[in-house]
Amino acid sequence: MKSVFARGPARLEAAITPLIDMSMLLIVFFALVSQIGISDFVKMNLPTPAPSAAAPPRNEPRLVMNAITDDKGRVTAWRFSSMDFNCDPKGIASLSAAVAEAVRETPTIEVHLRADANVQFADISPVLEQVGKAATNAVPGHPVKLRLAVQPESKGG
Amino acid sequence: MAEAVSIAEALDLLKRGAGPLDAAPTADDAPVAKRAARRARRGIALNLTPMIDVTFLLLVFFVCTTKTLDREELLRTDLSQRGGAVVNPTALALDEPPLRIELLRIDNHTVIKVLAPMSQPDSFEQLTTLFNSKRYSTENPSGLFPSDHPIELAPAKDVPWNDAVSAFNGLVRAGYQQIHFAGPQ
Repeated sequence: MKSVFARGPARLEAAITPLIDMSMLLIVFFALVSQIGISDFVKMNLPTPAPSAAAPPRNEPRLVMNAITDDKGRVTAWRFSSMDFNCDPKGIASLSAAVAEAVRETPTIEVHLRADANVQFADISPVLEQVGKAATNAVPGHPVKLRLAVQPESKGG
Repeated sequence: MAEAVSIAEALDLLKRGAGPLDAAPTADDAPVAKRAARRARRGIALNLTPMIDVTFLLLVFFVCTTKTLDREELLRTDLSQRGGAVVNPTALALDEPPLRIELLRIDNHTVIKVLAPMSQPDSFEQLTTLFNSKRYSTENPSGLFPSDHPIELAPAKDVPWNDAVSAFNGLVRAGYQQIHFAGPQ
């Protein structure tokens, strides 16, 4: 009868299943969050008007246009909804069409413009002009809500 | 019946890790029995350590991410209500002519030029003070412009975006509601 209770050496086993579950969850989570972060919030030095009249963003649907700059501070492209548009007349026309299409789908959506503080106004002006017109014409009588992203000085770093 | 009771007792002992009744304990069985008894005493335990680890990781991540996103704030604009950022005088019929403020870049410094017979501000703070004093209200009946008076902000091509936004911000702080960017001269 001794053999009934005889046990071999103790086996140490790691519980792999919950580890894999959590790893997969984390991977999916990080992938989603990082994609949102990259597409919507390109790292840049936003303007810091002081004292600022800006308000914190509200929890509303939004579209974000990011001005991508080179080493010299010139805008080389515009990033919108994970797509890059060249900073030339053709690219800006495509960007305007994309914004207009998005506004047509959701007329109440806000359009946020993010550009580096040192970018020259000449690089921003065509986008302001064309995107403003295209978005306004997309839904007649429903003005597009364009917002300028700034960084409050007190919270800057 | 007695046999059934003895089987039940034997099973109970087996669950607890003890040896059978008829098996005399030997030196080899002692550590096994001890280990089984210890395990039986502990009962079912939930391993909380990895869960806490992961929870704290998620917590730290959320805190960091939220802080980053909350830094930004937004300035509301009135661009679309005037048919775009640039006012086309032939296409728009404004009730009142817009007051034009130009931003010029001279010697790496942005200069504010108000195209109206009034004192010229030297800074964005002065721009706010000046236009606040010129805003008509019940408290300021001598003000020249109502708060919905259209203002056209026209930065030069080489003016940094920071200064254009600062001027815009200064006019918003002064209480004006219809400010729009005009194209560079």
